[in-house]
Amino acid sequence: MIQAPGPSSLRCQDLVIGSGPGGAITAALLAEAGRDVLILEEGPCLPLDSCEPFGIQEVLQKYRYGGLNPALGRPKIALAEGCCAGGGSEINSALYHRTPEEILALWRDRYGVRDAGPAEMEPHFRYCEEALSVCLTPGQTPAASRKLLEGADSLGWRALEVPRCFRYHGTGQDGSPLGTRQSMTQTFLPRAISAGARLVADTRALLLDRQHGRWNVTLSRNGGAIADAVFVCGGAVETPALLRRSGITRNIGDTLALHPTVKVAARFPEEVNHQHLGVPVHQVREFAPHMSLGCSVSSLPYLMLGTADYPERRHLIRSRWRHMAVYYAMIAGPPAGAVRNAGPNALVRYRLSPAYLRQLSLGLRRLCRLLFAAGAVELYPSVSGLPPLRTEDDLSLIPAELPADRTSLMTVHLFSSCPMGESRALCAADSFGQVHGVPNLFIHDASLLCTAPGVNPQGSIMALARRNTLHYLETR
Amino acid sequence: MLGRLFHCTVSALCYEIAGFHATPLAEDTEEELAGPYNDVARFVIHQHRHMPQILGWTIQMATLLFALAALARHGALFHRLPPPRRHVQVAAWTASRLEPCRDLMKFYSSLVILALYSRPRLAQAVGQPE
Repeated sequence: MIQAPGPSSLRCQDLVIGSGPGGAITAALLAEAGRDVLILEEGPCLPLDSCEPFGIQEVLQKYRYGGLNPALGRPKIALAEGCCAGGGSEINSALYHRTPEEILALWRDRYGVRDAGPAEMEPHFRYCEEALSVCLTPGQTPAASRKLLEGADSLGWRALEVPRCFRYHGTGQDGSPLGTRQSMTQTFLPRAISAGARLVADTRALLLDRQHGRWNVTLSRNGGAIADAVFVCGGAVETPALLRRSGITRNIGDTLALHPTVKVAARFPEEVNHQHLGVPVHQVREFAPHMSLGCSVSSLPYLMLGTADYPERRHLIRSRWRHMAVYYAMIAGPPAGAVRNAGPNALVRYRLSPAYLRQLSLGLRRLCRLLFAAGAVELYPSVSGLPPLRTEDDLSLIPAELPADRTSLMTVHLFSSCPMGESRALCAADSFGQVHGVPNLFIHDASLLCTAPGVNPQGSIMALARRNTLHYLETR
Repeated sequence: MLGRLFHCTVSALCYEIAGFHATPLAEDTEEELAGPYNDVARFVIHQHRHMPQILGWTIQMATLLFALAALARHGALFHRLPPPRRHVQVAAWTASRLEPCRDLMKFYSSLVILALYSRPRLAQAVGQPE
């Protein structure tokens, strides 16, 4: 399926750095247009089924730094990023959203992004949806996920099933649908390679240097690569880190945004969880795009992690885990983060102001209210020092502003570290991803998103990357 | 020498935290949560080794400080303490007023919990002792 060729010749017309959703679609379209394309991937080249999804082996094989690179600040925020061929698409839930229209309007008005309104983006979203088999789950959705719908229904809140990038083919013994996540190693990377692109894995781009109209790229092995044009697609942390190491710093890595997420484990009288629960697919969008409520992966290890602030309840939680699941409240965080290089690694700083900690508290209280409405009998918010909550009256125990030093936050969504747009005062790249003032250097990943979109970002990243790649091919 | 002290301290921490989760054991959980915890310790050391360099150094220094704090308070390095005293020190750091102390305990307990409750898949993930 995927080949990882040796270093025959690392010369090319177009060098794509990173093989996640932005890089994979860019490489496929360029190669299919007849360009000579080389893809560099820092992580290993592994098939999608090299490990169990959301298990410990996946953490070891496919997560950057094994998942141990928090955003420093108060509070610290745990980050999870993919580092393998296919990038984040190999480890995420494959939930798909289009960029909300109000977010596209905000990008146009504040950042001067042109030609990216809903009508202009429509064909790009449609293309990605067809290529990734974006669809709703056929048949039964996970019980823990349906609890969100029940709670939202009883409160009159808007909730929906989010479609996934997934190809279904039958049902398992328990009636749950079976299928294959349409990650990049299943879709655009094989397409790129079929069209002649070369993928070099386990190789990190260290430095970009432009000489005599071409890019010389220093690599962690194999020496270097030479390219006419470079597409940096390393994600919202590694892309600005590489550009800054290379001396390109204007509006680079100064405005990282993310979706800070606080979790709560809920216990129900009936069973809602089992060993093969699958990916929860419902979200409450009543407060979108600023706040979303959803259900997380709830396997036993993640359930025990999510309730680590309640060590005295560990035996009850373990024995009743089939009655429990983990839920989240996620907000669209401000562009208050920075990416900087520290030695060989990129470090992330992120500061959440008290206003956002109040918003997270509001999200947590709404989520708890919804879960009680869905029949939960006990809730365990990931705020140390809080007792388990058993009635709606207990919601008053949640501080109006979540304590920065006692709240466990995480995110899997990072973006906005190199925003796009015509405003040179605010943006790193133009409306089509070309770095301002630097010829033949493009950014095609989550870094470009001007602000947090408030939804799972893969659809936005891929649609923008397609739009920008077609623009590049048309204007050459 | 410092490297060896670090390894011994991490290993002892893993045994303490994992042992806490396994005690008292319900009958049906004995096998999966029971010691020894060398697989858990191997996982934690492996994860530490793959952290960003500067964060890895910070954790290492804090862990050594933790080991020496045991020497100052209990008269022996952490890994040489009897289990009840290890428990006292971990509990003290977990409830400390100092955020870095709490953060260090949270770092190790998160990794141990993830590893312990991932058994028996953990063995496949971390392989055999090096």
